[in-house]
Amino acid sequence: MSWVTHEPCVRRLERLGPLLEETLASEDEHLSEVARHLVAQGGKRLRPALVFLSAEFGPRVDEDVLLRAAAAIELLHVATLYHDDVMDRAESRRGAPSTHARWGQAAAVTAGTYVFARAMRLLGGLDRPVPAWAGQAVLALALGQLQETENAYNAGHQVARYLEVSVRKTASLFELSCRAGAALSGADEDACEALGLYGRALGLAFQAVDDVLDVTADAALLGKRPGSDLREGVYGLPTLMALAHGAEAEQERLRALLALDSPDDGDLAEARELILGSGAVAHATAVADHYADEAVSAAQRLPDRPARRALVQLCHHLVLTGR
Amino acid sequence: MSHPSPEAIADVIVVGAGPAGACAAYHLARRGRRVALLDRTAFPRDKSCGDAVTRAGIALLAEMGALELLPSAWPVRGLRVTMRGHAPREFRDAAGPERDGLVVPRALLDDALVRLAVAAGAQLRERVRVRRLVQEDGVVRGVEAGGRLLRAPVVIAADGAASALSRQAGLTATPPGGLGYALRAYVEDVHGLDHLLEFMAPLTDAGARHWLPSYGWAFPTGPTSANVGVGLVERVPNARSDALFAAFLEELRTGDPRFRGMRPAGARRGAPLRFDFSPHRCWAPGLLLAGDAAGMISPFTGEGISFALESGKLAAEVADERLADPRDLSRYARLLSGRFQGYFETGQHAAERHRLVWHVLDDTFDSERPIYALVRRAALAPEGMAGFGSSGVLTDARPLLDPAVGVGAELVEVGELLAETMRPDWPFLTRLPALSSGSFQLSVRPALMVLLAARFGDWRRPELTSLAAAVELAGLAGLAQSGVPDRPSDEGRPNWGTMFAVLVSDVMLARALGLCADGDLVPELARIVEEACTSRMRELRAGRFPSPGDRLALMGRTGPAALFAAAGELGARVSGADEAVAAALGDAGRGLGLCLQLADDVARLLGGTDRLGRDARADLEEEITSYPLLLALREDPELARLLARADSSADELVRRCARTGMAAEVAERARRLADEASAGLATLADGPATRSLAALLTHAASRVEREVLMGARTGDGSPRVPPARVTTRTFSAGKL
Repeated sequence: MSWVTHEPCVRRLERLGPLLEETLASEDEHLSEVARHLVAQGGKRLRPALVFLSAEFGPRVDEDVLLRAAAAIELLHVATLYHDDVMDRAESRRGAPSTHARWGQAAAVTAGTYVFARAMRLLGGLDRPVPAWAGQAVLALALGQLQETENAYNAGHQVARYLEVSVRKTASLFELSCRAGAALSGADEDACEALGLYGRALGLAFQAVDDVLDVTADAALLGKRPGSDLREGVYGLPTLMALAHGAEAEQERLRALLALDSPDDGDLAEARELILGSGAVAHATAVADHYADEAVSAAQRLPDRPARRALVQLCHHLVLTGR
Repeated sequence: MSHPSPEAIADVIVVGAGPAGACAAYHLARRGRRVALLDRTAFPRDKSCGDAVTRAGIALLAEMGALELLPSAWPVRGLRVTMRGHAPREFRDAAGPERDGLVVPRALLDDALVRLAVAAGAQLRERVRVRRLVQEDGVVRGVEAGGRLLRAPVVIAADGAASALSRQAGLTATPPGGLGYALRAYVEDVHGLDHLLEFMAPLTDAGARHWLPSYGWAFPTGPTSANVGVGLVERVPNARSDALFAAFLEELRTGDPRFRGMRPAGARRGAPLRFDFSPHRCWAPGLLLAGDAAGMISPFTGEGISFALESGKLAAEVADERLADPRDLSRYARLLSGRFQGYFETGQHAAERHRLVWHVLDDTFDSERPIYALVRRAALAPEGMAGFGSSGVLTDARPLLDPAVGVGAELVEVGELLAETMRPDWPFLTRLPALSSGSFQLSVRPALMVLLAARFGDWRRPELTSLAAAVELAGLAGLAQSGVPDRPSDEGRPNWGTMFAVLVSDVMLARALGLCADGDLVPELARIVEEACTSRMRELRAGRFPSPGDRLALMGRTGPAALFAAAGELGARVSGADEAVAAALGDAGRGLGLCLQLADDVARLLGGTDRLGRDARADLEEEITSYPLLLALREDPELARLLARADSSADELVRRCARTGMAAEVAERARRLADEASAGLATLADGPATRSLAALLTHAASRVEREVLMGARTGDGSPRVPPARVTTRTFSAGKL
């Protein structure tokens, strides 16, 4: 686990897996199986790691409470994966067939909602103000997804509006993780604030990197088909950059390809080549770097502890995987 | 306090004498106000428009006495919508005392309205070109026209979609996508048109590779004539409305026998379209915008005349009331937003929202799944169409409630809270019937169950309203999720319907949780959702054909039964009632929910429609076979084959079901369920709430019996609502 080596964090992450599975138990075995499908495959558990690292900046930690908060936030994230995969018709997730590919869309959506409800139940039991923050994050996630979908196939989508979507749909949970960890450990206001900023900037950097990977990475690394966002009309940062800054003729050609009602694989491949050739990837990477820098400087405002170094390391690791 | 200056020419100057302006002038004059009605042309004059006035507008015309002046207007009783590649659908006006809608050329309509305004005392000034508003200290004091200053305390700008006055007042800006545009012409020698408005959308380009945010229409103006036109909702690169129009006409001529011999009559006319109504931008000190000038056109159907009339009337009301101090006209914004909330998307997302809804309509046009039926109705059907609240299917709960129970005001409060909660995210969703005002709010619904159950404890607890609203939202979220089919219909294309269902359910669940946060009710709500998911999973796994008994057991844990049960239990628990009481109310809710669902299920199979306005086509599509249908299946195994085929007819399903003894058995079952639940009520203290619940149960069971009786009366079970299945045609608009 090169992205996080902080000892207490690693230890807690090890305890998290069983708790996640236990939380998703249902009296209906089939539901348990479908609802545990994604957590059983592991995943990085980035958000729990943020909870744990952030909790290092306060004076006290109740291990059980912290673990519960981390589990709840991870499950909120997992719940969105169930629903996103159905909406995007993703064939695979984490290298394995997606839930709906295996059990059908209706079951996948139901399981996602179940995971969500379990997360809310856990969160509801935490001390204030964490449940209220979680409620805001949940709403932000839903509205961000809505906004993304209504901008699907919108070649006129503005970069500024794109960032708005990223803040809601990605950064909100990163920020929640950091703030919840800080608040539950009784960290002071400055630390809470710095961690919140760190989480938000990290989320934006993460989303930018993710967008870049969708056009640059190959299927093996990605665990899904590259260019799939393009096919779904979800125009990530490189696409929007190519539309905004690419050479005139290429821009026009790209726009025409994206305007097709049902583009075939050839159309999509050509669009991808145009994006790659436009220099947009460098632009998008610069955006990722910008937010990574922002995250690191927010972290620098924290007291110098091993957890701070771990946060910085985590940020660098995330951004470098995009290269 | 400002007083009308001595040189004021009137109390109110109305600029533009179309339906909005004439209606405003008429109502002001009737209120005894001095009105100057200015227009740049002279009447009668032609105007680009679809000419259709739906029921909502007809009532306003009738009130003005306009209908008598329009003897040649062509009555219309509904809307037939054709979306590319799908069979048409009809939305028919409900039978009732209301008058038919009308198609009446604007040349006639506007002239009649102007004459009525004049007869009422308005002073008409024709051929007056208004140059600009006159503003003093940020307050509009009149207009400049023909080199003269015309003063009045209030100006109503009804100067159309391109309104120069609203622009000058800073109330409109051209949307990023540019204004939409519509073109129309009158045609003659059309044959076989009936009394339905014909609406086709969206239009596509020649290769059907590009999808255009556009629609076409053909509205009958007489037995052999029609108004035909196209609307392009936003500016699209390389798409020209005239080419779209020509191609649409060609398509009608070659693709639809009724239009084969059509000839144009008169010139083609065009006008910009604006859909950007926002309550925040409909007034300024001394100024009110009405009709198209306020951007009040339905982005889905182009309907605008009834909005124009109503906003004109409301503008008159507010101008009259605020004449002495017209600086604050904010009541107009409140009236409009209360009245039209949900009709228009506002703000920067409007264009994207409209596009999303169009995609969803297109993708789900053939689907009878509940959420799509609701959205289709919300987007396409004008008010007063058959369905909610008007078809007699929805029960107004009020007469069933004990007068002393007094939950009416709280129910209205819940409705307002729901609308307030959903409006900021997505105004359109507030048009879903469960969220909109009116008859649905007072029908038998989960919120009512929460409030009745709370009568067994401290019903004044403030969190009960939020809880009731949250339970409604959770129920709608469940309804939306049940719209997700097990397999995508077309693997190669975006599944807009599924995306929409998931998005709507997630936003509603998030909002439901928000409503519960204050009262620490989050774990309670989470538990309901968990239970619903567990039961739904069981239901999915039970397959299409479990035994009727198993289905009944599953039904008790899903859908309306689970929702009403949860509503009863939670309402009781949150108000502090003890667990035994909560359990009894849960059972009562379950019984009520079961009876409601049985009535819906049996109504469809007997040729009627359910509470969502769906007919037996829904039963052909659903993966979950209803209890009544499973009973019918037991007698008639052939039905299984009918359900397995993709091209089965709903008529045949209805005919076959009518030949079984299913209906009587369902009625009997409902009666028994209601009796059991009523017996449970006997353990509770007698009082208005207990009596109300008993009455609701009795009513729900008797609704099943009524549906059965109505089904029997039609004899062979022939459909009561003729399903609209005509040949499938694709509308494309040729090369652009």
